[in-house]
Amino acid sequence: MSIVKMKRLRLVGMQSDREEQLRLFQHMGCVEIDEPKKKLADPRWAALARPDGEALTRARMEYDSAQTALKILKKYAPPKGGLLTRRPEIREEELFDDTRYRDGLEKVNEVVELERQISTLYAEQSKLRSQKLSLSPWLELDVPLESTSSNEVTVFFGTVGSAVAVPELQGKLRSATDLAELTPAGNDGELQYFLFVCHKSAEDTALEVLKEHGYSRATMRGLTGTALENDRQIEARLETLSQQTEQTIETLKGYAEHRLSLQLCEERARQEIAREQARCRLLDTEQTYFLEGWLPEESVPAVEKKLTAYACAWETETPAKEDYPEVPIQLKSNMFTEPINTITEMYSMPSYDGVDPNPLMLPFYVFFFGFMFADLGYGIILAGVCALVQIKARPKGGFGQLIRLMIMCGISAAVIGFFTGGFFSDFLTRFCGVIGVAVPQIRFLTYGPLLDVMNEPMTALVFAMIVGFVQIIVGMIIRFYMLLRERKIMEAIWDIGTWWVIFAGIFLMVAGIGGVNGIPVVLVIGLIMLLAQGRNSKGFGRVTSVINAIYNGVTGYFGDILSYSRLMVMMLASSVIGQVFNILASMFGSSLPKAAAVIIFFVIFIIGHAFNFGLNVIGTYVHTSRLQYLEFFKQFYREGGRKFKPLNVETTYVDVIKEEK
Amino acid sequence: MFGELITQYGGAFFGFFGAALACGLACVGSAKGTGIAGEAGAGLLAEDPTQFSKCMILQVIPGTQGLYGLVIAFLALMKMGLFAGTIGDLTTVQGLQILAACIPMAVAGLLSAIAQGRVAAASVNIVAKSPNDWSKGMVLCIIVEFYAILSLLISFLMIWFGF
Repeated sequence: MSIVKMKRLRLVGMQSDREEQLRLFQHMGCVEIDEPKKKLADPRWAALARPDGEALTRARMEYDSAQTALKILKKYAPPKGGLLTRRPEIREEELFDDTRYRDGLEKVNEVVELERQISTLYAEQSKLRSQKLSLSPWLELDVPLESTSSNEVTVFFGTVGSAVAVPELQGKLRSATDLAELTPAGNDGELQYFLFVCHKSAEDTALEVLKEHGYSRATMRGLTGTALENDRQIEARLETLSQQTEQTIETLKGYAEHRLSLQLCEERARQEIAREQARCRLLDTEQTYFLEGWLPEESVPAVEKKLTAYACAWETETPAKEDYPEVPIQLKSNMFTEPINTITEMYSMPSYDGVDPNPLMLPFYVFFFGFMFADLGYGIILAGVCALVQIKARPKGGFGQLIRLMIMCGISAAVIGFFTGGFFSDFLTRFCGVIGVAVPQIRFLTYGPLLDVMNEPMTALVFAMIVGFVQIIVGMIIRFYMLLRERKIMEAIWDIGTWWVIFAGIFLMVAGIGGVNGIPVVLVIGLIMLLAQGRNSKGFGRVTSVINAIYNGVTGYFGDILSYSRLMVMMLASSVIGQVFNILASMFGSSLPKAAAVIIFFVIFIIGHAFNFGLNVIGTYVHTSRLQYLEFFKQFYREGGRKFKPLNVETTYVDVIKEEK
Repeated sequence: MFGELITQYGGAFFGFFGAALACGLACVGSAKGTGIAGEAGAGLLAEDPTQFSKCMILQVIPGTQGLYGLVIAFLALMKMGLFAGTIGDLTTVQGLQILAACIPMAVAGLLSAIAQGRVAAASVNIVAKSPNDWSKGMVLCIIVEFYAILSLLISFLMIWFGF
């Protein structure tokens, strides 16, 4: 509801208490520890020692291997359940239980080791397969592969290109000498393989013939026995290896039951990293350490209570105005404003002297979304699906906030859809036409809607702009309030008040009230007030700043209000597309029997509306957010804050039950 | 002679021509847009197949212009009386009105889908480098979408209330 007031915390504690105190802060989750930058500018402070990062490195390594192990496990045994599975709950002391952590790490190492074994097995198999492949041309040859030349006889294995006609080659060889023999072995498409045997005395003549055909020798890399024997051995080895691989994979799959302990291992390592990172920001003397950080004002008593148990000196300080850029921002939310944090955070956190935009933005956001998405059916589906996810899975973080925001937006769309007569666009009319019954008469939904965007788009357009004008005025009021809070009364009156007078003047002029002799007095007063825009300039600069203000004001406000026409545009576009699908659905079955017509209707209806629904959820979300960021925030928002990130227990796989220590 | 031809058949011809442009050009745009995004997506999937769903969503975003074109073409055909069998009554002036009304959708559909396809292709990089922020890429794509929606709307208003 507002930006939480922060206090600077400085603490000097005993080295011996440090570990315990850091754990305490992590448990409490309300202290952000940062670098004492200002102090470090002083050489005497800078000379102090920094804690070593050894434990941090170790925690990071453990975290990495836990992550790797989980990835491996995910690959071999994918986890069941998706969006709708609830995270298990564990107690904080279970998470920080060292025995469990060690056990988990052991499991992690085992998983990593099994994966390594599997890849070794695969590597060996592929090596054997390529060996088997290189043996395949020799399979027909019944000669041991280790056969080598002797003093009398030359023996070698060789190849010639596939273009060579081997019988012809054999003929030529025979006509050249009787003492040589070439036995063809096989071919692999590119090469033809052969065994060559010849008496030493005829070697030169025979090789001459072979050379003409471009032969080359093949090496057998120390293989013994015939090719077929080798092949069988490889086959047998491959069989064993593939069995081993399968067994190893099975063993690995068996680790699926330890998934939780692997996850806990990663969670625990994450906590260690967070705490060790915080520790590395401290400064050390021999006996003591120094900590600087931020904590919310409201948490001071709790921290005070805990710290009295230790021998330490500490103080808190309210940040001075010049420190504001450094103060981390935490927004105080209630149940309703918490979900919209995701929208604010996507833009930027407010600065410490700004305002919390959430409560101001929420009603507009929900209304705009509902207005653009306006459809009873779509709204119920959106709210229903999101509510289901919320109840079943209780998602956390930005995604959870989005889900909860969409519940509100879905309800809003359903309500506005009801009053503007949209239920899957004009489903009721079309479907009743198909089955041949009269359309049920429901006030607003099927007759007399408050706003009929299909037939009166102009009314919708004007309404959209009026709503936009209201939001802009609200934005200006906030800015007015902010200026008053900073005692900049003149600016508030001249920069914002002027435009209010002008707006009121235009309104009165259009309504024909308050004119004196045909002169719209209020508008004239407003225009005269515009001259005050030159108050901070000198000489000719006064004129240019007035012109500048007029130009920016007119184009700015005019453009902003026009931009709200997208409210009507998106509303109309979704109804038009939905209606076209309904017409298509009812058209195809028009000449068929009723039962068939109904089936065809629903097939086209479901596909078409699923598409339209998906498209419009995304589109509406983007445009609703855009209207907040560009048109609304422009009026008052002071951004640039940094989110408050206390040292705490943050988990992704499990929920931690908070308990007092 | 020619004048007679035009008065007799011109209405339906111009009307069909408009519907053909709205649907045809918008579909060409979508085909190009989804093509560009799909190529980029396939490049990433070769490295990291687990990002399939994100790549696919980015790829289909420029596909909507084709649908909008179809919607406009359909509405035009409906207004022309094609389904009711009264298309013969369409005057040349009405035919030309339909043709003119279809132009915004045809042109904006063609060009915006291609532009959006490029944004989607670039957003595939976001999926590759920081998959958790991919929805921001989607937001960038939807900004382009808006201009196709505006054209859809103007074409719709002209056809629906034009005559």
